[in-house]
Parts: sequence; structure tokens; C-alpha cells
Amino acid sequence: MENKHTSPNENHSKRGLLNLSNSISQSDFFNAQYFKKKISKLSLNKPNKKISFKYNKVSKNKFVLTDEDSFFELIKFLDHYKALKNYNILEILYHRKGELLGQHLSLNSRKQINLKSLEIKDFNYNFNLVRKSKNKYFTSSGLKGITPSFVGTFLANALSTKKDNYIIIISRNDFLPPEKEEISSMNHFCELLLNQVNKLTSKAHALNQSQKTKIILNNFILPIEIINDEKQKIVFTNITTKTHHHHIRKIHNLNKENKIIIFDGLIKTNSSEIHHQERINLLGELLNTLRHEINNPLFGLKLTTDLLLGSKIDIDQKDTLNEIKNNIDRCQNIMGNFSNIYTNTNVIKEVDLYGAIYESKLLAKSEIRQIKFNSTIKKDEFILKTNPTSLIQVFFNLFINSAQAMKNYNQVSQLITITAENSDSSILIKISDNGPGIDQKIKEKIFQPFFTTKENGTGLGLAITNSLVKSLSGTISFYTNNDHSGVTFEIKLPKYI
Amino acid sequence: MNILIIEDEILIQQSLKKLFERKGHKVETTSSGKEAITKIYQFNFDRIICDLMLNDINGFDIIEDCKKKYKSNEISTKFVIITAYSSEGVLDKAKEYGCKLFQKPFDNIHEALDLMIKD
Repeated sequence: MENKHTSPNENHSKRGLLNLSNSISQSDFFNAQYFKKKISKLSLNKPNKKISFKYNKVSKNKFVLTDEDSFFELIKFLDHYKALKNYNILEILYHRKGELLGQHLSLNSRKQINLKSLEIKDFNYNFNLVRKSKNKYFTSSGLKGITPSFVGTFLANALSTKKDNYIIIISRNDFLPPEKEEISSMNHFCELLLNQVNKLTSKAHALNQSQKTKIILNNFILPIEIINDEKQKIVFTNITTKTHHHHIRKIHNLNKENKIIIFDGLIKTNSSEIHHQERINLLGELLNTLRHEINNPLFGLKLTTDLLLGSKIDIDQKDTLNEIKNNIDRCQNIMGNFSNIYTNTNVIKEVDLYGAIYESKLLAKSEIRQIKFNSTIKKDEFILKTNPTSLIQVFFNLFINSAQAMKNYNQVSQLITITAENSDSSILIKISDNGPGIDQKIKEKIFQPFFTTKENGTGLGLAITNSLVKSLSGTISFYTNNDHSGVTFEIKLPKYI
Repeated sequence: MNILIIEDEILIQQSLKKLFERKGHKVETTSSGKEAITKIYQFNFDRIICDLMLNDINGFDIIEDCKKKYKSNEISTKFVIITAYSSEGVLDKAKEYGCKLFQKPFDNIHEALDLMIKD
């Protein structure tokens, strides 16, 4: 799940919704406060359960160099410079922005390597010291908080990349001041070295990061354990790094959609609903803008027509003008109806089934143009108290689904039949088509999100339909028609929601 | 009656002008809010019919400006606001100023026009 899907509207509150895969790449992921906050949110509904997050375990996790040989290659760079031939010690101090500790790496030509952690404040002090120095020439006592592996004088340079700060130090292990030539060679050497060092540290960093992530995931056992507790909701998705996999597999198996969903008692959310809500919101906004932009000129036309109707004209002209006026009214009605459908999405009101089907057909017009409709439903025959937006969306999705199924199968006599039956407290609506029907093999899957038989399908249409019907406290099922032509969807809806 | 129509949709502005003129009123028009303010200072209008969303300024800003200039609240009652948007906020504000509010499109044009100029 992408991040944007976590905040489509107010119904899907961010509270308790944690998207792990995205958080990992953020630097604040390793911030103790951040974790404590997240976990205290998760535990809102379970005040009695004691939760502690062992953050120290993560921060004390030692930085490990994975490719020592490659680091030794770096010291050979010194051989390229005649002026630097007496220099046999290379030290790299490095700090990745956002990390709690810097690293201090010492290398010498006898293939000895030494790695130490470094306080950030010491690193920053030295970094600024070196950066501001003009001749880049120091004595070992000049640095603060770090113990170099040599004695005497040294040359240093401070460099930055996008993610890291570096101090590069070279020394001859003696007390002689450097020649001018050595200083200029040093600058060139640093530029050459930087790219290489950056590659190596990034690689080491990535591996160390995944070690930390492992520890963090271990600490996340608590929310994973409460997966059957319907009072809490956390969503973990798409954890891509293989190193995490054995922690996650358990979760994968729990749900067919490759994600865990632990439900909050109040709001049930899954990805298809979020997609749906996003679409509805976007359409609502678009239609509102459109309505405003179109209504103004339409109103102007209406006024002008009225003006002309009031002047001396013959009967033919009057008829034409009235025709124009009626069409303007029709346009205004259509605009009004459309934007009403998509703006007042949470309203429950009396809906005439006939009207709802009519509106749905209007909405789906571009797809269902070639289809003949056979409906036994009469105006004011079936009245429900329900959410019109959802109801219309259900019909719309089913019409589109049938239309697309019939498109490549039955080119000549495409037909959708709609019938309805009244019972005491509910209405049973049947929508049949004469398309190819649904294959026995995929019968189980068709309401699952992201399941599609179409090349460019999103696999959301019927999943959304299913969740919409549920939201109307109804049920939806389907069966292959008796004469083996097409499929019938049966929707049972309560008369009062 | 002297009427000023402030509306940036020319088709609506001109039609309203002609419809009012047919009823025997004297009508001035403008599509700019700033021009409207200078006109209001120059002439004495009995009614000012004003679109809410103008290109340069908001209809309520015009009322506010006039109130400051004349140091009286009476001027605001001469205003009739016409708008395609009528949220609750707009309705409340119109009530506060004591001016009439009409939502476009009007269902019955002639009835609406009569209501606009009625005291």
C-alpha cells in the first residue's frame, strides 16, 4: 500500500494505522520518541497491558564493516601522488545525517583496521574545525574527543555528500610540517577518494540498517500478537527487504491479501474501500467545480431566453425558445444530480429504486450504450431508506462489469434484465446479463480486491461493490443463469438501514 | 428605481439589465468590483444587485467598503447578493448585513426579480 492511501478522508483515521514499509526509509524511524509514541497509540485500547520498547538494544547495536578488503584498497590511492608517498595512515571519520553516532575508521599500510563509534557533538566540532582551517594542517592534540592512531602532524579535509559528512585524515606519523605540494595533493586526493568512500560506507550502512530493522521487528511482536483482537488496527504491508522475511511470513499467511489487517473496533478499512473513497472524493470535487463553471453560463442563457420570450415574437420562435429553455433546465438538473450524488456521500434518505437505476444508467452511459435494458421495476414501486450514493455506485459497478464482460462475447443482442421482489423488511434485486458467465474456477475470488480477468483491470470493481453492499447492511451473491447464458447478481437490501 | 448590477458574467449582466429596464427601472452595470465602488459613491442607487464571486473582489467586500465610507449600516440593506454558491457561511453573512441573498439559477425569474426590488 502506498502512503497516499492512508489519508483519503476523515473516515479512515490515521490513528493506529502504521505503515511499516514506508517508515523504514525515514530517518526518524530510529528515534526512540517516535516509537514510544506509535506504540502508546497502539495500546490505547489496552491500558492494562504493559508495553516497553527496548530502544537501547537498537542504538547499541554495533556498526559493522562488511567489506574490509575494499576499505584497504582506499589507502592505495595515496600511491598515485608523489608528494604523498610518505603518508601511510588514512583515517576516515564519517557521520550519516540523522544517525545517533558517527564512525571513526583508521587504516594503515600494514593492513590494520580499527573502527570506533563517535559522539555526534565531537564529530561536528572537528568537522567545523577542519572545514574552517585554511591550510588543513593540524597536530594530533588539536582534535577533540577522538584519539588518532598516530602521533605528530597530519593533513585533514572536511567533505559532505547528500547524506554524509566526512573528515578525511592522512598522516606520516611524524612531527614535520607539510610542504605546500603535499597540501594541494591532499585536496586532489580527497576528491578522488570521496566517491569511493561514499559507495563503501553506504553499502555498510544499508547492511547495518537492516540489522537494526530486525531488532525493531522483534520488538514489534506485541502488535503482531494481538492480530485476533478486533479492537485494534494496524496495517503492515509490503516489507520488501529479504532480511525481514522470516519475521513477516507468519503474518503473510494470516491473510490472503499479503497483508495483516487488525481491525479497529470502530472503523473497518481495507484497501478497496480506501480506493473507492478516494475516487468518490475526487469525483465530488471535480463535479462541484464543473457545476459552478457550467451553471453560470447556463443561467445567462436562461435569462436571455426569458428576455426574448418577453418580446414580440411569432409562435414558431416561441416554441423554439421554450425548447431551448427546457434543455437548459435539463442540463442544470443533470449537473445538480451528479454533484449531489458525489458530495453528500453519508446521507441516508428515501430512495426510489427506479430513480436509482435510472441515475446509474445515466452515469454508465458511455459503457452501456449498446446494451438493451429490460426492467420490470416501476416508478415508486420500491422505496428504500438507504444511502443513495452507495446504492447508485453498486448498480453502476454491476452495469459496467456486465458491459465489459459482454463486450467481447456477445456483440449482437446484449441484454441486462433487472427485477425486484418486495418482502417484509427487505428488497431482493436481481441483475442478469447474457454475457459469458463466471468460470467455476474463479467463483471464489471474484469479490476479492485486486482479482481481475481483464488485462488492464484494477480488480476493484466487484470488491468495492461487495463492500458497498455490506455498508448498506445487505448481501450480494451471484449464480450462473439456468440456460447457461450469463450471470445473475442478487442483492438483498434492507428497506431501512 | 435606480439599480446597479455588478456581475462579471456578461450574458447574465445584460439580460438582468434588459429585464429590469422592461419593468421600468433605470439600470447601471459593471463587471468589476472596484468600478462598482466608485459608481456607488458617485450615484445614489436604490438597489445594488451584486454577484458574490467577482474577478477582482468579493461581493461582501464591496458592502464592507461602503459601510466604512458612509459610516452607516443602512447602505448594506440596499444590497442584493446573487451567487451560485450558497453555503451556510454565506447565508449567515448575508443575514448579518441584512441584505437579500438569491441563489443562481432562479427557478422563477420574474418572481425573483420582483422580490429583489421589493422593500
